[in-house]
Amino acid sequence: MKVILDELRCDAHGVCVTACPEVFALDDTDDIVRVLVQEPEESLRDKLSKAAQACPKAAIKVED
Amino acid sequence: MTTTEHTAVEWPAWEDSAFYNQDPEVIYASIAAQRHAAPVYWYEPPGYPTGFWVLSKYEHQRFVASHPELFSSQYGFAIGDASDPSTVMHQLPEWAKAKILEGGLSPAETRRTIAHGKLSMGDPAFESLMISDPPRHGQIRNIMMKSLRPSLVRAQKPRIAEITEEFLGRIEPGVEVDFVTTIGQIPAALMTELIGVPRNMRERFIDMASAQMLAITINPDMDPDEAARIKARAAEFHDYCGQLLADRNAGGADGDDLVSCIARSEHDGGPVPLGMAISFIHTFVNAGETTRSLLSLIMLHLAQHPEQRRLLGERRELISNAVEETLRFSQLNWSGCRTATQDVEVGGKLIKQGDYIVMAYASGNRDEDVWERPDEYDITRKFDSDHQGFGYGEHSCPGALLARTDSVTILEHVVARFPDWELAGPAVRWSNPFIQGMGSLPVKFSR
Ligand code: SF4
Repeated sequence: MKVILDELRCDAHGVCVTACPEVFALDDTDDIVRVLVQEPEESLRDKLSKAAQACPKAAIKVED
Repeated sequence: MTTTEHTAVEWPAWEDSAFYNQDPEVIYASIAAQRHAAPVYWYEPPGYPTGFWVLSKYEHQRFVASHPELFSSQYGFAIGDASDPSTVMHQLPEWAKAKILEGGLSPAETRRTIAHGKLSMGDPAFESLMISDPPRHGQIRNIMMKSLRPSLVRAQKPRIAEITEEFLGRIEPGVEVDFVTTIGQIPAALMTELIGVPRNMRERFIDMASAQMLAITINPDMDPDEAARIKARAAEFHDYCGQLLADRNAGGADGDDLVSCIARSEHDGGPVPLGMAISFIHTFVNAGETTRSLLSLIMLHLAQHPEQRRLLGERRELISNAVEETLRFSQLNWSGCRTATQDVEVGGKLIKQGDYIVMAYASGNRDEDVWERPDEYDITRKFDSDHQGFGYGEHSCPGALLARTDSVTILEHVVARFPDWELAGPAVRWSNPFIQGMGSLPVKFSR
């Protein structure tokens, strides 16, 4: 499972961080979200797809 | 004789301002009736040359908004753009009128001319984010986002706090104040600083800018004298922005304010055209106005729900959630529009190339497939999905983070100082088919 972030779309809202803090991180000085793990464990699939769904910019894709 | 409690609920007159000025409960009941019976609905407004699709389901709206290649933004962004051109001619600049009078335009091209014309303030070179598609959209957006970088926006917090305290210092507990024209002014004041407007021009600038806001709302019911007055003020706004940019160019643009960022940027290998610069400034002003409405609505809803107001006073960490719930519960811009670039099926209906599509955000925000107890205002609601308050995808609101940061910071200070308030008179809401806001909100803060 792979996380693909469209950096041009991301506006650092951080909704994904709330949904899946294992994979995404953001602090006040960041202009785009940081992807902590490119290929997260299978157990995070649910949380990750929630993050992708919640992102208001549709900036996150999850690929197998 | 049998009577039934259920008289049929009338479906929305999506194009009609009167519909949106009813009691919100009536509006939402009407919207829900259509969502349940006809989630993808072909609607033909009286007097309009063609109809349009109304998409009421959250899921369909998300699909449309995340596929700009199938659903273009170039051919109109508001319902009024699809009006019969003869009814809105007086609101358009000469070049747009001429183009329409020449004839031969498809319905989509006519919508584009109307949308472009009204946004342009007379400038035919005007280019706007709102009516562009990727990749052009991204190029334009990136220029503006330089001054809306998340790190910059978050760094604004101390300044927001400072200006809020300044405004709050003028509020006397126990005395009636209009929230809209007092605390509600804070976002616009902040916005002028972010734009780079000198302090002594602040009030005048806000004034010209609100005329510009009205000018972009195409509305066949608008009184011609009123339309002419608004057009003149909007033109003034246009000239003043040009002046601001010229001053900054002459003075070395090294600040983080919007005008400096624009002055430093390039577009198509040259300086950013004035028409585009103005559209950015306009977007900022817009954000100030809508944030004012948002804050006012939060104050209104919390005044109407005393138990939630008390809860908020006890649990300040709920403030940001209360902002989100308000955005969901009271959608500010009723809908967003797209035009199909090819035949495409949505919810079992065939949408034809060139058809106009209205995503009824207010409906998506109450879609029972997404939200539990959708008609309840609940500041403790959990948001697994984002509401449609800022739209979705490429065209979602570029000022969303700023609006959130402003609202949360301002409210934190309001609630810290005045945890309790009540309505001191009737709230005045205004609305057209595109956007709603608050005209007046008399409140009294408790001692
Ligand atoms: S939710 Fe989307 S836009 Fe926001 S930080 Fe995450 S990826 Fe970026």
